[in-house]
Amino acid sequence: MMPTSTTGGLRRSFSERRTLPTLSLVLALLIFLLSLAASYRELNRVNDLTNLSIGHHTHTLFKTYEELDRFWDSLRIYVHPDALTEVSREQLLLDFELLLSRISLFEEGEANRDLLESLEVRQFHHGLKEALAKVEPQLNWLTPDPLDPRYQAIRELLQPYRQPLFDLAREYLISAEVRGDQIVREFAENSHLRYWAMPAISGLLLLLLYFFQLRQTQRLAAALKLESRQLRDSNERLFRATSTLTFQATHDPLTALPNRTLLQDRLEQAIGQAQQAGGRIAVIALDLDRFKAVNDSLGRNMGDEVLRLVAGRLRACVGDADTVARLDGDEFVLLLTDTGPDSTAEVLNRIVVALRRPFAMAGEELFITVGMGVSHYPGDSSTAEHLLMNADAALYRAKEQGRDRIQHYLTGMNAGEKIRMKLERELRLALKQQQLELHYQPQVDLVDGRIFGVEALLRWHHPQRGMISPGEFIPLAEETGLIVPIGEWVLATACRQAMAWQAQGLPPLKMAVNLSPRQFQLPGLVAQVAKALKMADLPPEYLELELTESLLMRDVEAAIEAMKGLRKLGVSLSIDDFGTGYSSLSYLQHFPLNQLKIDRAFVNDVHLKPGAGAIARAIIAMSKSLQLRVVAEGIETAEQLVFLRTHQCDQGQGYYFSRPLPAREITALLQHRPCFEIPTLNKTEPAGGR
Amino acid sequence: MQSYRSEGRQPMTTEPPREKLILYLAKGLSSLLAILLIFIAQTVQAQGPAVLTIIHHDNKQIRFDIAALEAMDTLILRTSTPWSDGVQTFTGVRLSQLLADIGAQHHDIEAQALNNYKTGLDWNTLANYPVIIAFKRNGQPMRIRDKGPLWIIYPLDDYPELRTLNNESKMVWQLHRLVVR
Repeated sequence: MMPTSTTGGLRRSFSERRTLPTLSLVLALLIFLLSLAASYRELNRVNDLTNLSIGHHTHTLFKTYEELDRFWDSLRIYVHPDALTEVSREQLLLDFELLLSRISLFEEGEANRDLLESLEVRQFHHGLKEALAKVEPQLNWLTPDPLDPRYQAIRELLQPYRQPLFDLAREYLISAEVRGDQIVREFAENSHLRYWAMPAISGLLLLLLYFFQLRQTQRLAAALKLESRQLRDSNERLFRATSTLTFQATHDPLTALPNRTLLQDRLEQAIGQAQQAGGRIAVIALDLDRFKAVNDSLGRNMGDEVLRLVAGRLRACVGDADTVARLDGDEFVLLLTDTGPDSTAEVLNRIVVALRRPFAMAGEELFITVGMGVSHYPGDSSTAEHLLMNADAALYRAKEQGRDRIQHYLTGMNAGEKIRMKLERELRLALKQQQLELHYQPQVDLVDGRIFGVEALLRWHHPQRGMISPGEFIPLAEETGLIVPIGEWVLATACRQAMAWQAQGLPPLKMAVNLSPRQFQLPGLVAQVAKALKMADLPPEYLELELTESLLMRDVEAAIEAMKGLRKLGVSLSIDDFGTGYSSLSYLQHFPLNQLKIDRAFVNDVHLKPGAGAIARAIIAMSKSLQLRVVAEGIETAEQLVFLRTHQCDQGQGYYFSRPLPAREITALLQHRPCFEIPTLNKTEPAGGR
Repeated sequence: MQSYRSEGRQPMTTEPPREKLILYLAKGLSSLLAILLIFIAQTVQAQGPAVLTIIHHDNKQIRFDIAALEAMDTLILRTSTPWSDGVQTFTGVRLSQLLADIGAQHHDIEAQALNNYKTGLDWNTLANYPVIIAFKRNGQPMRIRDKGPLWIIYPLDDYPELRTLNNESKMVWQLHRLVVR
């Protein structure tokens, strides 16, 4: 390698030597171009001049002749129309106007000024102009009659100019040709030397420069050879540095295994090759069982050490052409190329065996098991993204089944997730596009049959799938947090509707609204309810919130606090589906409740199975003793109603009375039938165990 | 077929106070008349005689009367020409704008005159220079004998580079038809 100073000196001498020829080259080119441009301009000028003198003058004269002649013809046809040719008055006048306009060209502007310098033309122009001035009044009164004296007068006025004009034009054309020839001849004789000399000189100069440059280039080539060797050296160094950087960008620093980026790359490459050669690929997603526990108990450093050891053992299980990558945490992906089903099973087996040997960590023996999910190309998918997704889905299923499991991808493993995601998107849209609606089911006083309240029930009108039940979308809404805006909307709508009925003069109804667990845990729940009441202007005693039993039992203390806050607002609280959860009866007295709802499961069988009837009776009795109201859900038959009535159940709802109805149907119901008939109690009640 | 039109405007006059009532009546009547005129104008195809016809690709013909051209954004060009003495003031419509208005931008056109003169005009020149179709010269409408009623004017004075024989041959007088190519 050469010292730098020498290289610098070399470059300087190059640039000095290069300046002179470059300058002269540019100069020669400039002269060449300039002389070309000058020649071109001169040629153009000559052309223009010829055109101008020959063109304009003869053109004007000929056109004048042509237009005079056309007017002459038009005039004749105008007065002698025949079957084939006819000239309208407008056409005649137009021809006259065009002739006048042509005549004015002689006097106006530079273009034809020279024409009038000729005495002959001047006299002719003057005469014709005067004649046309006399023609104009005659023309105005001319009738299409050959005997009209004006016709003869016009012809006599113009006749003297027709032939002389033609002769004049011809004379001009001939003289112009002569003059044009003369100009061309003059140019050829005098100027051509001057215009050829310059390009010739500059051409010679260029030739000279070319030879000079040729010699120079040879010298330069030798020097360049030297420089290129140095360049190669530094290139090599740069390459080494870049490959380190590339390695860092594509590998996991902990295990030195390829990372996600490189895996993606290799997977795509492998798919490309397999497509051409018809090969097979297996992708194995691998995840350590309970790795978090290892990290927690042994510490992070030990955890990292475990990952390094696992990486080493995995690497030893596969061939050189295969890839073991670490994505993050304890997630590994193995890419096996060119495999059959047998060899994949063999590798899986090797992995299980390799990892079964204990890991010696800080003097202790650690046992590690893994879950593995496998997907195949081309069997399961043909894109890198989906192969990875499918292996992941299979791994997820393996982990669900327990520890130390291997699961091959099966079609449909991803489907549930996809449907959920679609549903979530649509639910967001539903809220925005007001596809959600509330229906109301009447709650009836079982003593006098009066409708005293309604329960608001959420409905989703899906534009394609029709009505979707809350059971299908409320759990999803809870998971995604959509329950918050949906709940808010339900509360506001229900309160507004309750107030709307009152405003229509209908008897005030109690509006029962369900709260979901997530909604109940919201810190701002009390404020949200207060806001809904205030916006609707609904007195709080007409709002009842229904909570599920399981919700209250999750965190009893917190639930009691939240319930107290709601009670302070003045709203009443009810437990929904009572009897299905695991309510500790002892807690029941601590909850600030107003009402219990007997779950429909007990109401259904109330008069059929003695057990169900007994539970219903027990709930009714307990409510009474705790001074709670009790409502039976899901009453469908008269028998159920009679049973409940017999055992002093206060209130009920169900299809026996009415299904949940849209608001306007409830309005109609209240207006026309605010009371239902309650069957009278039979003295010989069969199921009544008195 | 389409046609462009303009509505005339009533000049305002001042009246002695004693005739206020009559004035109001007259105003009312004139506004009624104006409304009536609009209706009539919509039923009649063109008010004045068509002075310019543009023929589109699909042979669709668009006709303009002088009033329609006057109703557009007009441009005033002051320039001398080889066919007039001294600097002239031309009033007209920018040709590229007119073509753009009817959706014929980026097309070359052929201009045809009453005396059967024809020449091609290329879009680039029309787009780069304010070439107009003049309908007034020195404030006056032009008769056919004065190279009217329409005259294509290049701004020869403002852009001396335009002063070539070729361009001068494109300054079509007695223009009456444009054919979009």
